[in-house]
This record gives sequence, C-alpha cells and structure tokens, in this order.
Amino acid sequence: MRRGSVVFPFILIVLGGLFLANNLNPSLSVIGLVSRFWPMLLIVWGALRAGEILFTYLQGRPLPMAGVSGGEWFLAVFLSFIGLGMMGYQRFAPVFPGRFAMRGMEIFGEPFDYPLQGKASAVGATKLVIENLRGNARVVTGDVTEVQVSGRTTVRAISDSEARRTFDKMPFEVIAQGGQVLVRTNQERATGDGRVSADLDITIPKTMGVEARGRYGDFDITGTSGNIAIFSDNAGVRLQEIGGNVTIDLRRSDVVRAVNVKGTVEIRGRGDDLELENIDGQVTIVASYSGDINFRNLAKPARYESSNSNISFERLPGFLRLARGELVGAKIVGPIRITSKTKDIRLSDYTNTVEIDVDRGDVELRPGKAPIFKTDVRTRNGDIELALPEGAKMDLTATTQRGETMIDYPGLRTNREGQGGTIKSITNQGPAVQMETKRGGLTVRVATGSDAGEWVDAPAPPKVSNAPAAPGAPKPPAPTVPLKVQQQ
Amino acid sequence: MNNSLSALARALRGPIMMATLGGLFAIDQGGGYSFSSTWPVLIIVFGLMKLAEAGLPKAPAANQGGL
Repeated sequence: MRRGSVVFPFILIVLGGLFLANNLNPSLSVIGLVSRFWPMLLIVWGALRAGEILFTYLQGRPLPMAGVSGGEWFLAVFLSFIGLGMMGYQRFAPVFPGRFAMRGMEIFGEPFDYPLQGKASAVGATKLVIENLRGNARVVTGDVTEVQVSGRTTVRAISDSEARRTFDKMPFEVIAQGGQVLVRTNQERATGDGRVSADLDITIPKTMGVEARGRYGDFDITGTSGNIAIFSDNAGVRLQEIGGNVTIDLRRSDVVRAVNVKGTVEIRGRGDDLELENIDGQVTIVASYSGDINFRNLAKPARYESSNSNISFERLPGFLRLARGELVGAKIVGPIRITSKTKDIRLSDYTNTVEIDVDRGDVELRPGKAPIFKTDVRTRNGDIELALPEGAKMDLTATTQRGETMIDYPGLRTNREGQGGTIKSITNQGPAVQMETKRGGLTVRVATGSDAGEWVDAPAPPKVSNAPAAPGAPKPPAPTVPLKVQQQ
Repeated sequence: MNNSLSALARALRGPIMMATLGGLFAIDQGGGYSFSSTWPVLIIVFGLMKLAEAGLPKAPAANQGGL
C-alpha cells in the first residue's frame, strides 16, 4: 500500500463496518456480503486510487510511475481468486434450498420458482426418457395410462423479470413419440451457467422403463418393471423394486443405491458410496467408488473392477463390505477371486475356492465349516490367519519369508527357516491350501465359537436404508477375543 | 504544474484497469455477460490508456533552452 494512500484505511473501515453490521444483526452474513459484493471492492479501490492521482495531479505534485503498485495488484488478484472461487461454487453447487446450503452461499441472486406441469399418453410407450440437465427427478409408478409430471423450475437471478426471461427460454415438454414419452426441460437453451434447475415428480405406468440423462441432480426411481438406464455427470441414484435391468453410468456420484432388483445391474464411472441389496441378476461394476461399498444378497455372479481392487464371486447370500483399507465379507459362495493393492481382507462362512492376492494387507479367513476348498492366498506385506473347523482335510503349505508362525490346529507342523518359517500338513490329503506372505505372521488355528457366523465387526445396516433387512444381513456385533500374530 | 497529461494517463492506467476488472466481475455476477465473454474489454481499456499516454502532450524536457 502506498504511504498516505486512503485505500488501506478504506478497506479497514469497510471490514470493520461489515463485522459491526454482522454483530448488530446476526442474520446478516459477512461471508455472504463479501461473496456478493467483492467486485465492488475492486471498483471502489480503482476509483479511490484514480481520485488520489487526480488530486496529486491537481496539486502539481509528482505523479507515480504506476497508479497501482505491484503489491496492490497481487492483493487484487488474490481477492479475485477468492471471489471467483465463491462464484464457481455457487454455479456448480445444486441450487435446491436446504440441500447443500452453506451460510452465505445462497445469496448469489435470489431463487425464483416456477411450477411445471405436464402429461402425455403412455399407451404403447415402453420407456420414459428424462432430459433434465440440472435437478432431481423422482419417478414412481401407479395405475395410470399416462405419464404425469409435476415439479418446479428454479432460476437464480437478481430480479424476477430476469428470472422470468430465463424461464421463458426453456419450454417444458412432455411428448409421446415413437414408443417412448420424453420429458424435457430444455435447460440448455438458457444461458447454461448453472443457475437453472428443475425438480421433477413423475408418475408412470408400472411396466415402463426409464432412461435419464442429466448433468447434476439425483434420480429416485421406485416400483417399475421396466429397464432403468441413468447417465449423468454427477448424480445420486436410488432405485427400489425394479423389475428390469439397471445400467448406471456416472462421472461422479455421492451415492448409488439399488434395492430389490430383478434384472442385471451394470455400473460404470466413479462415485463415493455404493449399495446393492437383493439383486436377482448378474452384477457388473467397472467403476471407482471411494466410499463405503456394501453388497447384500446377490443371487447371481458379481464382478467388481476398480483401479485398486478386483473382486468376483458366484453368489452372495451374505454381505460384502469394502471400505477404505478393508474388505469384510460373510456367506459368500465362490469361486472367490480378490486382488487388491492395499486392503485388509476378512472373509467368513464362505464356500468353494478362494484366490486372494494383495500387495499390502492382512488376510483373515474363516471358512466356517468343512469341507475346506482349494485356497490360494498371497500378500507381500501382511499377516495371514486361517481359522478352520475341526477335522478339516487339506494339503496346507504356508510360508513366510519374515515373520512368526503359530499353530493351534492338529495335524500341522512348523519349521523355522531364517527369519521366516513354514507350516505344512503332516498328512497331505484334501484340497491344496496355499498361503504366502513375504513379510508377516502366519497363524492356523481352530475356529472358536466366536468365529461362527459373521464377523464381529460387520457393518451396521446403512443409515440410508429404509428397506427391510436382507435375509443374510449381518447381526449386531458380539464380543470376541482378538488373536494377533506377533510380527518381527 | 510539473506533470504532463501523458503522465497522468499513465498513472491512471492501473486504477482504471482495476475498476474495469471489478466492473466485469460485477456484470458477470449480476447475471449479465460472463467474464469469459467480456475479458477482451480489459485489452481494449489498456489499449485506450496507452493511446491516451501517447496522444496527450508530454511534459517539456527540462532545460531545453532556445527561444
């Protein structure tokens, strides 16, 4: 700041005034005011500097080479970035009141709501197509022969007239054509700056499928026997009681939840939480979901492929949960194949063969009851623990290059080899059970009473779930005695 | 008066650019034209200010001498 400049005192006065106003009237948001009026600060700043220079000129004193110093430009650019960040947040944030509302962020213009209403005959139509760039769509079924749509468009603008002009550019259409009913909000005809969104409530006949395309907004579909296809840049998807196949392709998502689906489920893209429950068809997921992933009661083969983990199994009467750093499952029917970079893996009550390959992570297996199936477990860095029912026949070979070995199971012997050791069956009969860790302990023990059933730390039913518990849903936690191998 | 109009235009260039920048952001935020459309205005204003510097009379050189 220049010596004698009025800009710095001006900024102090404005800041003090804002905080004073906020203290005297708590409903006034300082953040909101700053985020709304920051461009004015640049204008007043420039005007004050210009006034100072004119004053200097008129007084005949020497003028500065540059009216705005480098430091001042730096501050101005810094301020602009903060302001632009706030504007950017507002543009890409959903505009529905209460959903992502942050204090002060709602004041970028005012929301103006306009009701939407439309219907079209569904006779002969097999599919509902929703084209709604921004906004939520809720689809329910009923004993109707037409598609009924109600809802509202929200336009953010500084005045009603501006909002109305924007709204008038977007004719709302519900059209029956060529075996499908098209619901279109035509938001792309508006300025496209993300200040427009439409919430839709749609009622369709029970046999109708749904295809939805959007950029931002949630889809909630219940009770149709048709196929579902959802394509969006960013969407939460909730499906219930779906009779057909489900295809979901999202670039981002906070949650995908499908419950009671009769057909196949195919999911692609990225997201946070994923929950599938009571799925009768095959499940294919080629996607990266970084939050909690919960599968319960999948009746057909399932495959999950992400950049970090590949998982496949034949059926899942129980549950499988993937969270950050761990994979826990119970009552899984194999062949089970799991490869992962970093995950602790714990499986119980599974049947059929198991192949596990992890770079870093502990593996704990509790097959539950005899017979034991072919098992192949490899981890580069982690403990392996196998808790077997008594009298299991197997041809066990377990090796660790660096770590302790521990046996609490009849018919096994252990050898110490350098820093590691091996565990082997004394009589080799039964399927091959191979376990290998480069660095980590090995434990083979008899399964105790507390090992029966699900894992003690099986997840609680998800908070979002309001459906009845699946037949194989985990029971509440029960106490257990942790058994840990001493590692070198 | 020791300052020329050209020097005044040069000194005013920064403040006017800053006020213009703020104005463009204000227009963007108000729901009018977006900054991505209006940024060339900054170049135009800068060009006009440079033009003013060049076109307005400069201060006479000190001790130029002569009649």
